[in-house]
Amino acid sequence: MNKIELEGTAHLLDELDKKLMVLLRDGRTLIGYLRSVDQFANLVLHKTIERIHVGKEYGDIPRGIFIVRGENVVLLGEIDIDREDKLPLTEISVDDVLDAQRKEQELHIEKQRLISKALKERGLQMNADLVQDDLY
Amino acid sequence: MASGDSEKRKANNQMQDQKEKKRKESILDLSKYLEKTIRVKFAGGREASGILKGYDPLLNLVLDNTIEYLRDPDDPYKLAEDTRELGLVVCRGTSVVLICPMDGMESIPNPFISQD
Amino acid sequence: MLPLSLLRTAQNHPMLVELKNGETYNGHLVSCDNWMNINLREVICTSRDGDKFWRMPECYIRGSTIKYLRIPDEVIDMVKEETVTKNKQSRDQKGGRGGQNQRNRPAARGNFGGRANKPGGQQKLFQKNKPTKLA
Repeated sequence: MNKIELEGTAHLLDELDKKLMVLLRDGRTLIGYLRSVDQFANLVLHKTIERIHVGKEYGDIPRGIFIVRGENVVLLGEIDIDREDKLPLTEISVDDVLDAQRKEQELHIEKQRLISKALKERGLQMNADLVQDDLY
Repeated sequence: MASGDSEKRKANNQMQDQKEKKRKESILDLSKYLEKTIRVKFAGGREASGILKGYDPLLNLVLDNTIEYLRDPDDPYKLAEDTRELGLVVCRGTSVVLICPMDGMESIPNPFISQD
Repeated sequence: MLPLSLLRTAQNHPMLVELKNGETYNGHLVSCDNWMNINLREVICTSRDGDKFWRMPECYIRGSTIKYLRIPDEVIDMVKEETVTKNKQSRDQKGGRGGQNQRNRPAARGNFGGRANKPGGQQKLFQKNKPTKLA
């Protein structure tokens, strides 16, 4: 009976207490231990870090416990503990990665601005900001 | 024996009814805001404030002397300084995202910066 | 321990709520319901870009607009204690039926010692840390 009731989340239950990477719709990456799920795929993540990637570098910010509303999750997957130290990426300090991310975002915003300006000149309008927020 | 069982069942049902009631009861008591000015944020980014004249359990609201806070035309989530008057309005409950009292709401400088 | 049970346990605790529109709300959880609608008190609202701030005495937030909530570390230990006492009670009453308690994990998972340290206290932990913040 339990099996039928929870069919949709059955695979998520397999991931309980494992270290997961969760990608959110806004593009953020969370890594933490999955402590709980429900029928909406709401998640409880424990000992969570937010990992910010810029190019081949990344930085981790400790964030604690999350309750994530399921509808904001794009994908999640188990982290291979044995191989997570052998990433082809380099860890840098939080300050550095935030700096790098800001630069990346400024470039992106400028690009969007130019695109939207060009579109406007051609009589088209796209609301860059609404599109940008919803990456997936 | 049997009557005892059925009584037990009855009590159980009552307890469940109470639980159900408790669950269905809204955690928001809008009566405390009646005739007071509230700030409302809507899905899509609109914001307004007005005097609460009426409401229903679905969060449909009647606001009077309503002001809409206009937004940056390039960024629908950024407020501009500008406002416009809407007067008496009905707000659709399904699009209400946030409600707070205007009394005590204030713009403040960055409260986190000192801890940086 | 379902996500919403954890949220209920977090009542009266400080938390950070981020909405889908990017705004964040720091405040104490007053109440919540099965739809994740919440009431907060002593709230600080931060705009999406992290450049504007508002103080609010209280606010109601519709659950469906929430992206995530961040709660203090100690709450997860509280919910474990709760499930253990509940388990004990139901075992005493019903003579140890399994039921839905089967998946409750033991309380003895004690070694969360390596938890992120928070030099600035709670508020620091929950502060907005957005790179889009422009001076």
